[in-house]
Amino acid sequence: MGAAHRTAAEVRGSGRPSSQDSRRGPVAITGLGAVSAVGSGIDALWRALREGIDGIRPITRFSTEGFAVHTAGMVALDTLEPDKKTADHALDFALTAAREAVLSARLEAATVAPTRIAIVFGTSLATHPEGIHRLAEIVGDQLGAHGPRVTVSTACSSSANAIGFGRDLLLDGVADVVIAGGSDALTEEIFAGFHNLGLLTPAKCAPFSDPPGTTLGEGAGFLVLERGDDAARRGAAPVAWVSGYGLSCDAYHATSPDPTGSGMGRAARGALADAGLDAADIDYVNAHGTGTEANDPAEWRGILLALGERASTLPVSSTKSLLGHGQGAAGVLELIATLLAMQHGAIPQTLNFTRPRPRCPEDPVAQRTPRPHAVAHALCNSSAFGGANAIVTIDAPDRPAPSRTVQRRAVWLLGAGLVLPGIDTVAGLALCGAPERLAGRLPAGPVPRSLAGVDLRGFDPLSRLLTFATAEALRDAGLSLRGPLRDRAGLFAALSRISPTSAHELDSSVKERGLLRLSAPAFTRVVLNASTGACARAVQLRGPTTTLTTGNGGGLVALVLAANALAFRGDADVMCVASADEIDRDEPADRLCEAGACVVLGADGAEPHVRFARAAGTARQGDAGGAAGEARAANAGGAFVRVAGWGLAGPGQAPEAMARALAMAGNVGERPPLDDGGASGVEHGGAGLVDEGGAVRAPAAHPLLRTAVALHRLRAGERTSVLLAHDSGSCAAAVILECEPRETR
Amino acid sequence: MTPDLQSYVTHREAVLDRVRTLLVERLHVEREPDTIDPDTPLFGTGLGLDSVDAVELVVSLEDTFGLQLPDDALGRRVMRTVGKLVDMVLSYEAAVAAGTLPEGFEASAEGAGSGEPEAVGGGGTEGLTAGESEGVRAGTTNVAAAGEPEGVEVGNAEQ
Repeated sequence: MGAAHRTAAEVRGSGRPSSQDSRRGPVAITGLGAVSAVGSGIDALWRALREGIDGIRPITRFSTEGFAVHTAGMVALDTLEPDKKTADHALDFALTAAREAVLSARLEAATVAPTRIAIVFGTSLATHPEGIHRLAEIVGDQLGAHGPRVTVSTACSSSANAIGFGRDLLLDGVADVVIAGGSDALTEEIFAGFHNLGLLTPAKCAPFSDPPGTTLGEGAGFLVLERGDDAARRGAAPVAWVSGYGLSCDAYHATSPDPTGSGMGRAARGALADAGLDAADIDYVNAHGTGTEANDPAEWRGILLALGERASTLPVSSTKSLLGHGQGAAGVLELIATLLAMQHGAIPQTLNFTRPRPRCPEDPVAQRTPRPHAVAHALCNSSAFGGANAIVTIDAPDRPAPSRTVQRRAVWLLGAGLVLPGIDTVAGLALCGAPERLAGRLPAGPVPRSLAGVDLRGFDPLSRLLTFATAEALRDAGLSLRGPLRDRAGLFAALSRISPTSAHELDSSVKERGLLRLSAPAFTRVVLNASTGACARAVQLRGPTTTLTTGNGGGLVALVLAANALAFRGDADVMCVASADEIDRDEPADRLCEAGACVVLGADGAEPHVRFARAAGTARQGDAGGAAGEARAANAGGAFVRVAGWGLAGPGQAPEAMARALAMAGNVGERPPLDDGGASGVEHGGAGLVDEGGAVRAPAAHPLLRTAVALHRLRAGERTSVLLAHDSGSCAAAVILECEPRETR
Repeated sequence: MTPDLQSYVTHREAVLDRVRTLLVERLHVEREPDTIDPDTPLFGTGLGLDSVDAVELVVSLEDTFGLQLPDDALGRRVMRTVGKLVDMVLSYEAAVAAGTLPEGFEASAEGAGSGEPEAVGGGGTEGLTAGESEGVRAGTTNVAAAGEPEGVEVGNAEQ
């Protein structure tokens, strides 16, 4: 391999300090809380599971007159503590479950600083007048958890994804305790949406069996997670371990799973690799198992792809037959059911099984009560609208998966894309705080009408902004995603709300036509990750995906999580990080600015087919097998920019996030003071993007717009390093970008 | 051209225009309405509709033309092309004018008489067995059964 093809890691060589390594391994689950159709509390869940009594009942909270389906797994509201009830069911469920988790972990007795307790909150269709991120903030305030509060909203895989990120926050030292899980309440609009999509069965949900169709549910589940040594130090016995997780995107359809199961398979392989487990180690799979015609065979194919021969003798069951489909809370509730059974030396059953459907698991554990069967390691599957898959591996208390040291891979900022419709390029650049001389380097302009080779029908404005910014960023990075690289290219999106256009379309269809005839296509677009899924489908990003919100400006949080995934995980080599703002028709266009922003990160591939070696300042996507396609010069004439450090901290703690990023960057401190063009060195916000009253004009995209401008300044040689920081109110984040030293270029 | 034929052609054009407009406005097809050829397939490589859109298409047709469609009305026959949708609307109208309903619409006869739009979504499903109810809304089962080329997904989502 010639010098030009050496990887950045090889160039930078072995001089990395050992602080760049990360210890990866299981984290302990030390507390549990659950609210579901079978009652409030972990004991109620275990009783129902043990006795095989499902929580699916006629719906009484709202009228189902005219619908063909009348049942769901609804929480009996009188099982919640009366004094804790608010008008917001999803919040009530969350508070009840999270409190139970904290109590069962005996956290009050622990001496953990509040700022070291993080919350990762998964929710799908919950609403809050100020944005769904408020649920995590309220729970954090009530429980005294003042570390980062991250809200994951990937529809029905939300809480599984949240648990994975919770583990990351512990392993990365951002928090000492993480309260991770999720909550969702069933509303008549959600019920009507699923009904009109033809997904519900009038009978009870009977996964892998006849009749097909699912039953909706609701509830909340939370885990208290800690590093094993911390738990041991305070004498807390692990209930189980979270040893790994995997994320992927089907990039196939808004609501239907990829029937080949490849997305599910990728997530499962990612989870196994993260946990350091083999297919042979897995004793049980708790399936997503919605019971629909599309899900069950696709999921089974995914399990077969990931586990191979092992799958043929593997028990695979679905807890949705017990609880209904708990939406964003489904992942965590089903994981809790799995580990409750594990604690009792059993595996959860699939209820309501009549006769097997073709192309479904060989052993669906079709019986009334749990099956006695020791489980050391289990997979818990979730998948969702938007094609977002999340799979978590859990271990029995006495069988934690092995820990290992992972060397940090160098992460590069390869490109950026901006879309600023409604204003001309120069004005758009000024809004981003970019000087006019950068015009021509910074792509900015109206949203194109089309994208080559992509059918954009059904893409709402938010999806278009996200998609064009992402396509532009990939172009800027010189990456054309082909073949297997697509499977290793992911998309993390930070959004503040769903598309106002789609929200209006759904609302008006309900107002004008009634719930029975609400717009099914619009319904599929009102989950926060709908635009992420659309973007991933258009650009074919099939690697790890998430959609998170911290209110406004979660872009840097997403960037930190993406950088982390590249540096310490093995399942992606390219990560797109994107945000977008769509203006509501009722909002003042003179004070708000529609924007899409995306940055592309890359890491030298663990696989030989992806390399980002530096060669004369270009990103080179070299290739041993011809699979990854031809490299193009990306940063031609400019510097190669490295993401040198990153950090997260709780709200109001930007200095801590910056300190963490600086410590991680290490050698930045040995350099001349940060070159910030004469200012403080901290990129808080561009003057043009903030109006006179201090309001940000593109609130969601703001941090990534700033990142894009910073990249171009670094490339233009105006700076050698930049510290970007943002405090979104839920979470503070900081990122350090630095040019590779000129002498090594 | 006889006056009758002339008036049929004019009416057919009018219905075609309304179907095209519906496809653009309600189904977000990204074309100028008058560029949508009647022979264009609705699904797959044609207009790219999928099973989720099929649900909306049924509701939109009912709204636009005052039809009362049984849940299985839009079978493979009708769902093929834009022109087939127009045929369906015309034959429905002709049958209603003649006081009968054409083959394939029987299931909606009661609903059509009730004047309640909801009768289609509700009443039309009542006779279904549990096994059939997966296709409860809208032709999703039929679309899948028609064996359309790639791009047509089965109506079930996974969430």
